[in-house]
Amino acid sequence: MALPTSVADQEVVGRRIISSGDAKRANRKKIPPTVFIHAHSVTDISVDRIHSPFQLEVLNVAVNETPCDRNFYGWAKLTAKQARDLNCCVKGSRTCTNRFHADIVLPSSVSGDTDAEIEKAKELAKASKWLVRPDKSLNQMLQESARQRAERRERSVS
Amino acid sequence: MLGTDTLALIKSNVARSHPMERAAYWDVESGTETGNDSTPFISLNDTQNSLVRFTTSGALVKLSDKSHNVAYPRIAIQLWTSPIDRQLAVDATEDIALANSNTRQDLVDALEDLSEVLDEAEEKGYQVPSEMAVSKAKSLLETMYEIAPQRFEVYPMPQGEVTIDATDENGHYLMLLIASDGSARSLINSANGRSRRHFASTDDITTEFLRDTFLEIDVSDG
Repeated sequence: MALPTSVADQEVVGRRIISSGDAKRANRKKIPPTVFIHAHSVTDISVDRIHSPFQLEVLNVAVNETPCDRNFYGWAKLTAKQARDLNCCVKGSRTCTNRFHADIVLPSSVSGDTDAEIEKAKELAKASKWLVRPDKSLNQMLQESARQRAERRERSVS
Repeated sequence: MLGTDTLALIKSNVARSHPMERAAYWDVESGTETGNDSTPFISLNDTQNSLVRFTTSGALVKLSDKSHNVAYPRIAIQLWTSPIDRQLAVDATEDIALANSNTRQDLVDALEDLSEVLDEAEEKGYQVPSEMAVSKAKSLLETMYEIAPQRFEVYPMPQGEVTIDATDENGHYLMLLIASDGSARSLINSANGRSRRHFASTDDITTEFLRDTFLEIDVSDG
């Protein structure tokens, strides 16, 4: 099924959570604003269009695109309308590996102003809800992550 | 009148929840409330002001007036999770025990988050915060807990700051971003609007500033 380029207001988009710390916070209903902040101060925030008919397919894409030293835990999800109500633009922007890719574009007024970006990210985080990936339990993933971290430490020591 | 056992328990709780304070610091005063009910009371005093008062009328716990709490917010608010000028019709010792247990776990959890902040920053590809920033954050966290015992969120920011995030149920918040050089800035979103402030050092973040902000953003309920 083809996806229209435009993202409808009622469509649900999700920002991937690939940090165990953020997953634990999200699970406590405390999604941190850093989920919606790009590490290099970019105002286009990548999200997946995760409405239900495609969720398993989106999941596969998310898992495949997650760097091998990280884990994919789930999404901070919100509707396109919720993001638009916060003066953000939401647009479909499929890539060669992810036809569900979209961007939440922060308003130009926050561009270059780190604190304004944080404030906007805080608003997006407040509007969003945690959606754990459907094929694994969070505990299982956190245990896996702890084991990987321990292995990395051992490797760096040796 | 509260018995000596109860009083000893209260003093012990105060000492345990405030390692920096010595129980011996506190004097005990007893007397009779003036006013309508002439209720007998015991209060714990410091050298200047009565801070907390225990009476036997329905085991009412009453904080002394707000001006005293301004001078001594650490003690008064550590004991109770309620707004500082609220009267609590609950048993004094049970309330203290509850406040202690809640506070300690929340603090332990937040400090655990803080202990993982360097690893988390590295994992996310962020600039890794300095040890000084972590140390300053720890000190601030403890102070914040003394004012409003609750779970604060702690996480790294991309530019290497450690963030302490106090957000209420309405989405109002105080975010303190502690930079690697020990400076900090606050982002506040309260019913009064938004504000930002820069602090050359976290030492400049006063207890009064924190307490006033917490009252603005309604996190003082714990």
